[in-house]
Amino acid sequence: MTILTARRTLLGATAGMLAAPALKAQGRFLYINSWGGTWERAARQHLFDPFTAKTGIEIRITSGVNFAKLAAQVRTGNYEYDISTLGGPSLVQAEQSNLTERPTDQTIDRGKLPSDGIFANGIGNHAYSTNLAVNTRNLPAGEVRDWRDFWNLQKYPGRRALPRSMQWTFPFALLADGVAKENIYPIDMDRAFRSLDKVKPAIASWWTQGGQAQQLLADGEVQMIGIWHANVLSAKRNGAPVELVWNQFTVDRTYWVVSRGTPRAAMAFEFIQFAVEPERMARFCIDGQYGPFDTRAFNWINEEQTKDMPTNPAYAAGAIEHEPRSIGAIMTAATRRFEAWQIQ
Amino acid sequence: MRPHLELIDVSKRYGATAAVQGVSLSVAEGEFISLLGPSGSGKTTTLMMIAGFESVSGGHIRLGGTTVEELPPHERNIGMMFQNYALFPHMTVAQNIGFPLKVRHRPKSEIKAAVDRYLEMVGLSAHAHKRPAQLSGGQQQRVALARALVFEPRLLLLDEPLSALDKNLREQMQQELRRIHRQVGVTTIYVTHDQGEAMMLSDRIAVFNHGRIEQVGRPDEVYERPATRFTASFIGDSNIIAGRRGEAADILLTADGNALRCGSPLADAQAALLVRPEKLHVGDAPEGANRLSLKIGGVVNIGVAAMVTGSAAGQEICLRAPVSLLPSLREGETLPVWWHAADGWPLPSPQE
Amino acid sequence: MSAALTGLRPEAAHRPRTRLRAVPTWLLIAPALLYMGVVFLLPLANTAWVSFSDPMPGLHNYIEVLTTPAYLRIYRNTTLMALLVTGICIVMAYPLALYIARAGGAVGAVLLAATGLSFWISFLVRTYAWTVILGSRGPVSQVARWMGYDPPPVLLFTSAASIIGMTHILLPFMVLSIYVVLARIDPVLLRAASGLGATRGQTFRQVVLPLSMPGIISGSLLVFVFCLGFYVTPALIGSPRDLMVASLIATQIEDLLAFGTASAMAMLLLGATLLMLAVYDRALGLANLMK
Ligand SMILES: Nc1ncnc2c1ncn2[C@@H]1O[C@H](COP(=O)(O)OP(=O)(O)O)[C@@H](O)[C@H]1O
Ligand SMILES: [Mg+2]
Repeated sequence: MTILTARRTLLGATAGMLAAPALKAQGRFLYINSWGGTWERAARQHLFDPFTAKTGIEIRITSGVNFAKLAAQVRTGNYEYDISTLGGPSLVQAEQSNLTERPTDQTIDRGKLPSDGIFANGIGNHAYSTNLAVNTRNLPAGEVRDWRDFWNLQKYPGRRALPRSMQWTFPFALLADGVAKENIYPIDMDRAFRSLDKVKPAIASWWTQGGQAQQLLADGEVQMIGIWHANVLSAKRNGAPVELVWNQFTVDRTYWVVSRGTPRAAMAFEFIQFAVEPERMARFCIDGQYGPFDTRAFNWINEEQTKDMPTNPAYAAGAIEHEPRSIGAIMTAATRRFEAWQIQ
Repeated sequence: MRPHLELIDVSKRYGATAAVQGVSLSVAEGEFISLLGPSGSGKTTTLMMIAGFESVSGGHIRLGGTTVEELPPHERNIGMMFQNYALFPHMTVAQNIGFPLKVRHRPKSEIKAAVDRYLEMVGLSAHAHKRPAQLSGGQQQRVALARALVFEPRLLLLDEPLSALDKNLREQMQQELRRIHRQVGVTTIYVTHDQGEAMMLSDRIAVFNHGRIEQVGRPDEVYERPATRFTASFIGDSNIIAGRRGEAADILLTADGNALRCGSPLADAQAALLVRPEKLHVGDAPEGANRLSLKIGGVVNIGVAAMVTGSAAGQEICLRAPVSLLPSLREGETLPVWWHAADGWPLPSPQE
Repeated sequence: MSAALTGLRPEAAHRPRTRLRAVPTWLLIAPALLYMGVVFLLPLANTAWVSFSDPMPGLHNYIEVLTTPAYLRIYRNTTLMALLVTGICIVMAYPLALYIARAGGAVGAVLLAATGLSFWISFLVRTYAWTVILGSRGPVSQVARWMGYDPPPVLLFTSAASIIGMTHILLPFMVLSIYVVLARIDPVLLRAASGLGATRGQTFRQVVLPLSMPGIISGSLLVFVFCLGFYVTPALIGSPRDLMVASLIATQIEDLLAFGTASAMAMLLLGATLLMLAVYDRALGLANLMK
């Protein structure tokens, strides 16, 4: 190699290195924060790969959905991901903290979305639910029907687990105390705690991770649990004796959001628009066993496939829609009180 | 009187190596005895067996009339000073010295008094509260010595304690060891490979070679009347002239035809005689003296004398000539040398 | 970019090497200082700053944490848990480290490798393993059933499970810390002690133990500080009542975006740790022992 070519190679490398952030901004890649597991497999097959095929934009995954990172990214201007999916309460918080990019007429074609398709800067994608589930090794299926049964320690002794997060656990506590599902919101905190006091002796674990909850149920470490439906389905697929109760379950909608200030915002919205087209959403939801946000997606889903979907119209009577703004309003106070209550 | 320490046919084997082979030795109460020999001759092993750090492969060790080879070290009541001092780095000088008394649960006041006494004996009273790392090598040595003596052990064992010190300090410590031994009177076994040190310090010397004792005796005995060729050559400078016994038992005939008379009769047919360099004289021999002519190989002026080396009777010979002769001593020339027949000591035949 | 080019100028490449020696020492350690600064001090300074400034300037974050009884209880429990785990680690690690150090040679090397081996297994996996071992159908419960305890004692989701899990994960740190120091003790010192009349027990208490103190201390600091930051293990296998400070901090950030509160909690945890070190130092003379 001559000095000249060596110099040129180095020059190229240096230029590449220096220009890397700029290049990123121009757009070969899009970084998406992934939930991993089933979600990622379904998203890769039905959303990411087709998008890359169509636009040439490569999708890169950053794993571990972490709401705080969204805030950190916006604060530091150092972007690890451009797109994330958030649940309702987080979405509200993110909007209030100004962490998400607002969709505009330039970036999103609202005409293609359902009427409620945009909420607090998020674009609706799919729904998941938090259900009562039972390990049927010691309890016959169909025996435990609702949260009153879950709270009935005399009739059903045995350990239980609930989410550590108030947004899922409080509605259950109110239901167990006899609150009608229409009256859950706004949440009566005192009543929720009074109700929780009654079930507390049987709680073995306030779980924080879906996988953790799944293991607790599948291994029979708890008899019953409040758990995300996808984890029950996953346990069932693995042959665990578990029953998913499609009654008194809360439905959370998740939304695509774009990190505020990312240089790749336009591209990110392009992806989102692509991802929420009903047919594509249908395929993603079939594989991921999620409920499609856009009801038009059901046109591409047969009845058998809707069996495990929270937005299945057949389950509508037992479904409880979360009210993110209502939860968001009390989130901090309730979480802190919940923590203090747990250690007592 | 019964001996204080008795080694009876003691051996130590490490697998195939015999480190010590059938060593027997009696040591009287209060005696200072050196184990002298080249490196690897089994001195340390012998000492370790006495202290109890090594088991014996054969034989017995009796101390004060009782057999001790089954006792663990801490029950033998033997003071030992290690080559690298082995002071406890986390204790002060005073704590180090007090350690043997502390583990014997002596009262605090007694410990303090004893520590003070021994600190003074080794001249370290001013350093009582320092850590070993803050002391010089010589000072650490004294601490180790005080610590080995403070509990009035039945025996003091020292393994080449001065080998790490420089020459001046070593000589100073030798003096001190003698003084302290005289003062305390403890029976002492001292391992060294330095024959000068052994000669200077010891009441008796046990000469070790290949795991055996070649000879035990007072310093003058092992020097003047060595029992073996090894002892003769290991201790002091020596001229050993080999030959065979003549008709008269006190005559040694060398290969080149010299007939040399010894101070006493030769025991073996193949024999040798020892004559120390300082016993060789230059010049005309008086009547009855042995004489040889030495072919000068080299001359070195060492101040008090001229060291002359050369060969005679087919042997390497060395001697000390008066400095006044220096001008006449030339390499390659021959020099008449002689010694009194009484100064020639008969040695046995070379060992098989 | 131009700097990269000048670096390639031929005459630059032929500059005599001795030039390097003229570089002052501070410049040579500058990269290390920079690294420390960026990786350690900068985030710390940022945390401190956030704790006083988010969402508004003032001491309110600290006041909030220090006046909430539940938080103070969590601090106390976390500290107690850390102390307990540290204590258990010392008691369990010491004999093991001593055995490894004594065994030496091949046996020692194998044992040491076995101790270090668990570093290679993700601690999440190790924690999950405990859920199986301590679980209601795990081996411990089975043995208890055979022995006639039916139902078997509850192990999983107790503080004891937390302690077992954390001890298991942190034990190797303690073993290695103590082993390193024990292996350095000159065996002649032990002979000397024995020769001077000390029994094995006395030799251990008066020579080996004090000389291994630096290992115990550095191991304890390591384990204690790790414990303070633990939360996955207690959350997965511990009692539902055990909440660790780290878990509390995580919730403040991840669920509540309360960066100010979380930073104040972190600074207080750091402060408490430093305070404990200071007390420890006063009591034991840390600097002295670490020599
Ligand atoms: N622990 C041991 N294992 C094997 N051989 C040993 C051991 N200790 C000493 N030896 C051997 O025993 C012989 C005598 O050693 P030693 O008593 O140390 O001699 P000295 O102290 O006279 O130099 C040497 O050959 C030495 O290699
Ligand atoms: Mg030796």
